[in-house]
Parts: sequence; C-alpha cells; structure tokens
Amino acid sequence: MLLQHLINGLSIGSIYALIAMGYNMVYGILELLNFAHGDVYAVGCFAALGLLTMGVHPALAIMAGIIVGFVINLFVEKLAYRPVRYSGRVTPTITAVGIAYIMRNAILKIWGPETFAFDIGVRGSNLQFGGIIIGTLQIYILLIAVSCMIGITLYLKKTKTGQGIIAISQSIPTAALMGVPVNRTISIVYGIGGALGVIGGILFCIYYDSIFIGIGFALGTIKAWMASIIGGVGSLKGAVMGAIMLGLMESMVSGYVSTLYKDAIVWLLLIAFVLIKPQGLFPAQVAEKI
Amino acid sequence: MIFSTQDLTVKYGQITALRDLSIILESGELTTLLGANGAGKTTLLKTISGLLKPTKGCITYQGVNIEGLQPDRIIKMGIAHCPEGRKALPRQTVYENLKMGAYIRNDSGVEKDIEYFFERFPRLAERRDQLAGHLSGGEQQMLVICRALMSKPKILLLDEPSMGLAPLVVKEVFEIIRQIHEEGTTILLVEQNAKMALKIADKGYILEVGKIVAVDDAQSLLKSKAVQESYLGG
Amino acid sequence: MNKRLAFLVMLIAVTLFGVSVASAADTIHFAVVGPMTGDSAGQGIQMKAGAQLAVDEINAKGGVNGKKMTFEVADDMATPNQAVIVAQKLSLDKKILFVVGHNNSSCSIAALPMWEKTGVPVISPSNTNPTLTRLGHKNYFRVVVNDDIMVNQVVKLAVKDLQVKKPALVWENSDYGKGMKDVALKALPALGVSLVGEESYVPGVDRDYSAIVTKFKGLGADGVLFLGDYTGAALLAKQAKNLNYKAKIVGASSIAHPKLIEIGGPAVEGVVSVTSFDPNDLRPKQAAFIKKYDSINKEKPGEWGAHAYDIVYLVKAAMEAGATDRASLIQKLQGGKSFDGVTGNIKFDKYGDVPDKKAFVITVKNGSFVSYKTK
Ligand SMILES: Nc1ncnc2c1ncn2[C@@H]1O[C@H](COP(=O)(O)OP(=O)(O)OP(=O)(O)O)[C@@H](O)[C@H]1O
Ligand SMILES: [Mg+2]
Repeated sequence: MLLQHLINGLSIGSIYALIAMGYNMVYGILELLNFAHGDVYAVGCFAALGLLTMGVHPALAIMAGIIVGFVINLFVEKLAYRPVRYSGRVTPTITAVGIAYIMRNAILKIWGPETFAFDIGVRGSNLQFGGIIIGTLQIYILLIAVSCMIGITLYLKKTKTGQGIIAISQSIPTAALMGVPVNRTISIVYGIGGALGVIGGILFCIYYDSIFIGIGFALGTIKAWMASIIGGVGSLKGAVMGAIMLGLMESMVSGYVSTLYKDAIVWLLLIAFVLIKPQGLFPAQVAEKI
Repeated sequence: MIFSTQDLTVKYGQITALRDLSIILESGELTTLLGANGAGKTTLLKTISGLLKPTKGCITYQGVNIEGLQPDRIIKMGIAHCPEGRKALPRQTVYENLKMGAYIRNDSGVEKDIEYFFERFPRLAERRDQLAGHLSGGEQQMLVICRALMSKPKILLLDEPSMGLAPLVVKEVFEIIRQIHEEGTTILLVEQNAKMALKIADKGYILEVGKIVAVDDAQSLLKSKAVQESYLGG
Repeated sequence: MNKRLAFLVMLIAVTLFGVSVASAADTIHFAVVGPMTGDSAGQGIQMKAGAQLAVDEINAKGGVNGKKMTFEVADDMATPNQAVIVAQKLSLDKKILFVVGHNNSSCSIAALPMWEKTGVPVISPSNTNPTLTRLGHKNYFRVVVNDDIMVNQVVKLAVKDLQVKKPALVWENSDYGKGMKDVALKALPALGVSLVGEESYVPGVDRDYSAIVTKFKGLGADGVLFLGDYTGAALLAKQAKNLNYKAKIVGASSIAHPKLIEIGGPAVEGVVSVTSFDPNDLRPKQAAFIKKYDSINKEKPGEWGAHAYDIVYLVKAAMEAGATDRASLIQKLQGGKSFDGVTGNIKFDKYGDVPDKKAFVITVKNGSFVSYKTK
C-alpha cells in the first residue's frame, strides 16, 4: 500500500506543481504574493467549462480557457498591480484580494457554488503492477508538469524576453536601462502565470472529472503558496518539488494517520518547515556576495 | 551639437533637484560633470535616460525632443546609461549580462562583440559563466561599462565609474574610458575624482545644488583657482 | 346629480370594504420560509413550487371549507440571523396561520423561540437534526425523517440487505456529518458488525479520496457507509473505480441527488441510498404528483418540493377536522391522526417527529435512480 500512497501523492503533487509554477513566476519577478492567482485560473477553467457545455470541441475549449487565463491576468496586472507597483508590498496585496473577490463573485453569479461534471471525453486507463495501480492520466499529468517546467526554464534562460524577465526580477531600473520594456515584460509574466494556472486547473478538473469554485482559492492560491513555502519562494524548481512534497505529505498523512487531522498535520509540518528551512528546499538563486 | 538640455527642472515631490539646467554635448567629445554629493548629477543622468520625468524643460537629441520617453525608447535611440554603484545583474552570468546589454539589438554581430570584450578584458573572459554577483567590485565595474557599450551607443552616460575602486583599478577604468572616447563615442562622465576626469575630458560643467555654476574647457577648469579649491583638494 | 354621485361613491366604498373583509375571512394565509437566494436557493425554490402546486389544486377544487388558500414567500438566506428577522416580522402578522419552513436546521433552532411567542405552527419539510424536536417547542413539527432514523436505516440496509461484513465509514466534517457518524457508530455494534475504518473529509474543499480508497482497500472493507454530500460520494466512487476498489457504497438522502449521477457517471452505478422521497416512485398517487410537478417546473421534485406539497395538504386535513386558528391547528396536528401524503404516512409523535415514516431506498442503475427492493 505504501507504493500506492506514494503514487497517489505524486499525482496530486504534479497538479499542485503546475498551479504553483504560475504562482511562483509572478512571485519570482516582483516578490508579490499573488492572491488573485487561483481566481484568475478559476475563471479560465470555468470559461472552458462554459464552452464545453456549448458543445465546443474539448481541445478548443481548453485552448480558449488557457488564453482567457492569460488575458485575464494581463488585466489583473494592469488594474490591480501596475498602479501600485512602487507602493510597497501591502497595497498590491490588498488590491489583489479585491480583484480576486470580484472574480470569485462573478463566477458565483454565473455558475453558483455547485460542483459540475467536467468531461472532455478522455478516460485514462489503468496500468497494473502487482497490486499497484497507476492511471495513465496520472502519468500524463506528471509529464505535462515536468515539460512545462522544462519549457519555462528554457524560455527564461534562452530567449531574449526570458532574460529580460530575469533582469526585471533583479532590478526594474537596471533592466529598463538595458532597453527591456518593463510594462510589457511584466504583463507577459502575468500572462504566462495565468496560462500555467489554467493548465494546472484544467488538469485538476480532468483528473477529478469535476469543477467547482474552490479550485481557485482553496485549492489554488493556498496550495500554491504552501508548495512555494516548502520548495522555495520564487524558484520554479522549488515550486515543482514543493508541490510534489505537499502532495506526498497529504496522501501519507491521510493514508497513515487520519483524514480528520490531515489539514492540521500538513499545516503543522509546514510551520516546522518554515522554522527549520525558512528559504525552502530549493531557494531561488541568490548571488549577492556574503 | 548632438545633445542638449534646456531649462531642465526635475523634482522629487517637493524637493527640486535640478533647476533650469542647460548643458550641451558636442559630438565625439568627452564632457565631465563635477559636483559635490547631492548636487544632482545622478538625477540629471536618470532624467536623460528616461528613469525620471522632468517637470519643465526639454532634452534634445539629434534634433528630436526626447524628454519623458520610456527608458527602452531612449536606449534604442542610442543613449546608454551606465548607472552609479555597479549595477551588474547579480543573478545572471557575466556572459548573460553582456548579452542583456545588447537587448535592443537585432543584428547578428552580438556574439562577435561579446568575444571582442572578452578578448579585451581577459578577466571577464575567465569568469564568463560565473554569476556577476560573485565578481569583485572592479570586475563588476568593467562588466557594466562593457555592458553599456554592447548597445553600441552614440552617447554614453557614465555615473561615477571609479567609485570605491582601488587606485590601480581606477587607472584601468579611466584608461578604458579614454579608449572609448578615442573610438568616437560621445561621453558624459560624472565623477568625484575631478582631476582624473578633467585630464581626459574635453569640457567640464560644475554643478552646485541643482544649478550649473561653471562651464569651460577641461584644461582651463583644471587650472581654475575656484575649481582647484573646491574639487581638486587645493 | 350630487346625490347620485354620493351614492355611487358609497356603493364603491361598501363594495371594496365588503370585498376586503370577505377576502380576509375567506382566505387562508400562510408563509413559505426558506433560502430563496444563495447557495441552497434550489431547495427553497422547490419548497415554494411544492406549496404552489398544492394551493393551486386545492383552490381549483373549491378550497378548504370554502376558503381559498394563499401564501407569501420569505427568504431566510439559510442564515440563522436572517431567519430570526423573518420570524420577527411574520409572526406579528395575524393573517399568517402557519409556516412551511425552515429548510436548514440551524435556522429553525434560531427562529423557533420567536415563532413560539405568537404561537405560529412551524412545519419543516427538511430539518433533519435529531435534537430539534427535543427543544420543547410545542409549535414545531417536521414531516421529514430525522438523521437518527435515517442513519439507522442506512446501517441496516448495508448490513442486512447488502450483506456488508466489514464496513468502513466516511463522514463529512460538519455538524450534519458528525451527527450522522455518531448515530452510525452506535447502530453498527447493535447489528453485530464492527467498523474496520473511519475517515472524514471537508465538504466543498477536499477533492482527493484516493488516500481513503487505498486505505480501505488495504483494510479489506467490503462496504462504505457514506454520510456526506453527493459531490463527495460521486468523487469517492470515481476514485474507487480508478483504483479498482469494488466495495458497495451506501449513503443517506444527502447523496440521493441527480448531481450524484451527473458527476459520478458510470462509477456510481450500484450506489444505494436511503431517501425520504423517491423521485421515481411508480405508485399512482406519487407518479401523478411527480408528473404534474415536473411538467410545471421542468424538474422532478426532490424531498423539499414533495414535503412542502404534503404539508399544505396536511394542514387542509387538520382544518377540515376542525382547526380554525393557530392554537387549534397545533392541537389538531398533535392529535396524532395519520395523514397519507405523497411522501408517505405522516403521524406526529409527542415531539413533532414522524418516527413511523418509511424511508425509501433507491439505487443507480443505467444512469438513473431506480427503486431498490429491500428485504
Ligand atoms: N528618490 C529620491 N527622492 C527624494 N530625493 C531624492 C531622491 N533621489 C535623490 N534625491 C535628492 O536629490 C538631490 C540630488 O541627488 P543626486 O542623487 O542626483 O545627487 P548626486 O549629485 O548624484 O550625488 P552623489 O555624488 O552623492 O551621487 C539630493 O538632495 C538627494 O537627496
Ligand atoms: Mg550620484
């Protein structure tokens, strides 16, 4: 059973990973906790749901959902973050929470709080190894998470815009003096963050065949934040590894301790983590000389 | 005249940092801007490169008004600003820093230019894949000057390139500046080290609390009694 | 001219006055109070629709003792605060003879003292919290089987009918789920079986049941008692199917909702549930009601619609037996005469509960709920 619990945890972790990556991208560049992240991608996922129920082909609906996530996050950046970019850290957090509320209530208004079936017609099959069952869907999700991580890492390392993003994350004025178009580049970061969130959110919906408002804040923002704390805030590798650790922790505690105290125990572990390793397992590269 | 400012006034909130400031840069000349701490030298460079917006006055470059434009537009027009305090990008490698300097370029010569700087500064070449944050102060200063040059600017704004460097390294840095000047780049050099700056400069401005109080060719300023007393240590 | 005008005015006044007097005396007023907005509005709207259908039928056949019935709707927003505000307002309205409501146990708990002050009979279609009828409110009745009775039937169904030998339990972490779990924990030993595993989940948040499934599988549990919401049950069934876990899933009425099948798809085939109303009941009386309700509301009634419908007829019967005002209505309801409604036989005990009311058992077959034959 141990192996089965490990595999379960790995699958949940890979989904958290995608969501956390988008979250950490935004954190990495501006060091702002993006409290609107979950609600942005929830809007993308619900847009995909809307198109699906209208009979649009699943691939198109998913693409559209990802684009919606990208575009909405552009607006969120422009409306909630840009005007207060240089006003410290508290103000943007407040504007973000505000815009998150607006989006959450918009979803509630249109769809309500219920859980809906999310069926795109992919049925994973099961691979059996002895008593252990691995869903092909679980394998795909892990592969998608890892390839997104590699893709984003290459994008940041190898493209001009990617290097501009990294430069902005170190100093906005210095990057501006190099000719990096600051507003546009920050927009792109938010867009990518939103799109990654929608990819994670949609995989979440596919994996559980259902969608509900909670995929945004409760399962998105909060889990992404927890994963980043474990893995290292602002680092992509940290987001992925932290998310997988979180998934494993949840499934191990549920499997071997108790589902009743699962959340309490996971939070306790998280606090312990913060105390022992405040920078996370894979802290963002810091190159200041000591 | 390639560049000029006219009656430039810049404020930080209520504080006026520059007041009706006018300077002229001649094409190919090295102009130095001297002044005490807090005189407004950095403010002027930041305003030229677009990081600050003037409240009044114009900046003219090649006959075009450029005040108020975004920094990425201004560097594309050919004005590179090498900021105060060795602003290397610490989390990127030496190579990546140089490449960032060519951010606005789309030509195929970028790699060749990087190699050129590596040849010229073997110490940077040796640390090619090292993070810039791990370089020594002098190495970082060299890197940021090279990085500014990677954009192939027509005008180079240098803000206290010798700050905090050992005398030998200062000499080295001034030698680089002299060479850039010889190659034909127009330079505006802000310096505390007035003597060395005036020695390689064609012209000098003296700034006091946001106002130009003197302008002359470098040789005359070097000999001027007032300048000697205030900036050259008697 | 002047005289004729004065006469006319007088005539109109008398007519109007007369009509209004007549309408007050010839009409029976009541109120439907439940969540009409917010998360559980669907349930309140069913209450309204059920009452409306009953009222329309009764009025078409000449009313109750020659009086027409009419009702007003009030929104308690499923929150105790709002429930008290509504009760404060409506209980002072002398016209209101009785109340159909509240939908949520927490609302009834908060508002009952207020209703009791002016003696308004409150008849709930859906409060299942066992303690509600033990608070000493003489004006309170409910036509729904409480959780105590319901869960005992779930346990019996699992052990006796489905022959579950090693049951495991999943409960939703809320007052509602915890109450049901406590009942089940007492009922199981009484039937001679002991629980092999017990897990909980947070309703509306937890989506992953794979750890629970893996654990139950390892413990060899052959049946899962699911005491929680339909979404949780559907997701558990799906993840059980994915992990090749074949235990029977048995639940209380909270899972007997069309959404169970919508979300669970093929995975919920064979899930069995005890419910207080079977939307596929084929007995003539029930089938006729379901068809009529469905054609008007474009949705089959759930327990909320059906119970509200029964409550109106229940009051009609009490009035035909002599009830005329709030106090006499309470007396008649307590009188213990049994009433045969679409949801079964309603006979209140001294607490206002319906201990003898039979619950139904339904199961999912070929993508819809069908009746399940119990032994
Ligand atoms: N961001 C700011 N906000 C408010 N005042 C500022 C700001 N930056 C500079 N100043 C003020 O503007 C004046 C000019 O500053 P500036 O940095 O241009 O001086 P400087 O000539 O470059 O001095 P130094 O030789 O010390 O570098 C100073 O009085 C300074 O305190
Ligand atoms: Mg300065």
